Amino acid sequence: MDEKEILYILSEIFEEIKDDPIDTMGITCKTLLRDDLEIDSLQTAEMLVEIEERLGVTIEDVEAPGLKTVGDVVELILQKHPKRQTEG
Amino acid sequence: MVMVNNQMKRRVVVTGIGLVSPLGCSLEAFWQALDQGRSGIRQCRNLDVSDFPIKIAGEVDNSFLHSDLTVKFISKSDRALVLGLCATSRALADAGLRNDGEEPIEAGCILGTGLGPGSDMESSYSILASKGWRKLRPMTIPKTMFNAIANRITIKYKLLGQHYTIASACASSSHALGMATMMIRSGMENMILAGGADSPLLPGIFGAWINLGILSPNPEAPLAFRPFDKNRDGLVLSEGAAMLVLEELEHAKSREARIYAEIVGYGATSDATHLTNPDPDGQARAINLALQNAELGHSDIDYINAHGTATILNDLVETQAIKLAFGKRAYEIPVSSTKSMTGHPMGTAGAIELVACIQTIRHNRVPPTINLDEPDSMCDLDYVPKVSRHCHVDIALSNSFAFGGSNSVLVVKRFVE
Repeated sequence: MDEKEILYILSEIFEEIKDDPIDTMGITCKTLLRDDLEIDSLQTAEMLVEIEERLGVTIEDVEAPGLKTVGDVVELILQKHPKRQTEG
Repeated sequence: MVMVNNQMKRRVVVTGIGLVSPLGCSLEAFWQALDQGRSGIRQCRNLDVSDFPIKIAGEVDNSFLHSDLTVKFISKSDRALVLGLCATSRALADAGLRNDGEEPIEAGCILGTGLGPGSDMESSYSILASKGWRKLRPMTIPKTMFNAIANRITIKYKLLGQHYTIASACASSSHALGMATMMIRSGMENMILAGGADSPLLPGIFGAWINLGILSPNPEAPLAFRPFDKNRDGLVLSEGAAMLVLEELEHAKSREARIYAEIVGYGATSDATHLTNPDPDGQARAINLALQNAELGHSDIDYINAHGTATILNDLVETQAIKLAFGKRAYEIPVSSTKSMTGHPMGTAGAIELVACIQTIRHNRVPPTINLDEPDSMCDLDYVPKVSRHCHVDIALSNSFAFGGSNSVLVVKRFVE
């Protein structure tokens, strides 16, 4: 699984957790979770649940505050992804 | 509770209507179907009924909703929430108010719903049962609490007045409209979005209703709902939402709002007798209280929209109640059950039926009770069998009688300055 695939899945997740439509085409690794996507703390929690369900990656609650950009999320997923760890 | 009107000088008018129903999602389509005696009940397409012995219901066609909400939002969101948001959006637009949520609106919101956010609730319980509490989504509480729909309405459309949810089963939205009327009369608010949103067309709720044993087993969808008929055999479930903009008259005039009708009376009582069996005395008291609140007499009512759920007991008791309240006058008033066409949309019924009353007044035509082929000899009032008719209607009365003996009656009048 590469960065592009993860970004695509994350875009789907953002659409799922947000009520208002978002421009998924415009999402990049530099997109800010709070300032650009307006994702609040509850939606962040939802995002972590979706990531676990869809990608099998567990991001702990204590790791959430460190996630400022979409790129931060991508990077953490890449680090923890089971396949990546197996290849490790 | 005695609900007198003698202290209130503020008048309450209806300036906007939005509805989503099995008969369509515009006022024109809804009224045309009622006037033509068309049923909105069909074989279920949205709900998977393959495992159920009953396969019919009044469903809202999803294509009607796409002009208000995205397909994605509709598919992922609670059904009653979707219906409520659509109806509110349309009501606001109909009232000449913004429905884009860009500007705050000084209006309250009182929503009546019997089941609340039912589909989100069923999904959550399903997760609990299959995967345990740790797998419940973080948003479970905000999404499933009973006031979730009203919350989301006020947030999306920036309604700044007070908001809350009334749950009284089939009388929910009638109570909501009644309370909104009282609040505007009292001066607490100048404008309130009031009405209902409900969908019982969910696997658990649908199955539970089947087990209650009062759904019609008739597989012929348009013929199944037969209020007051000798061969009636139960109700048919449906879904829907109807939101009305209620406004203080001078406030409405100051912004040159179109006025549909005036709500002039509200009466509410409890039977205090039985959880499911209705009582004519409690219902008659609600009717009389509504008339008293409207400062009207029995001879002033030109049309009654019945609760009319086509159960053996409801139709019999409602007939008794109308006679108890009106005496001999009962035989002179046309009474019809529009549920024969809409199905029973649970908590939304009162709001949808008030819209039917408003249209009756505007068009001077009373909608029929369809499928009334052979009236029950004990239901011997003029129930407008099968075909609508011309009738000058200035004042209509709408009954909503719920499980638990919760009764709500509204009186609506042709607006005259």
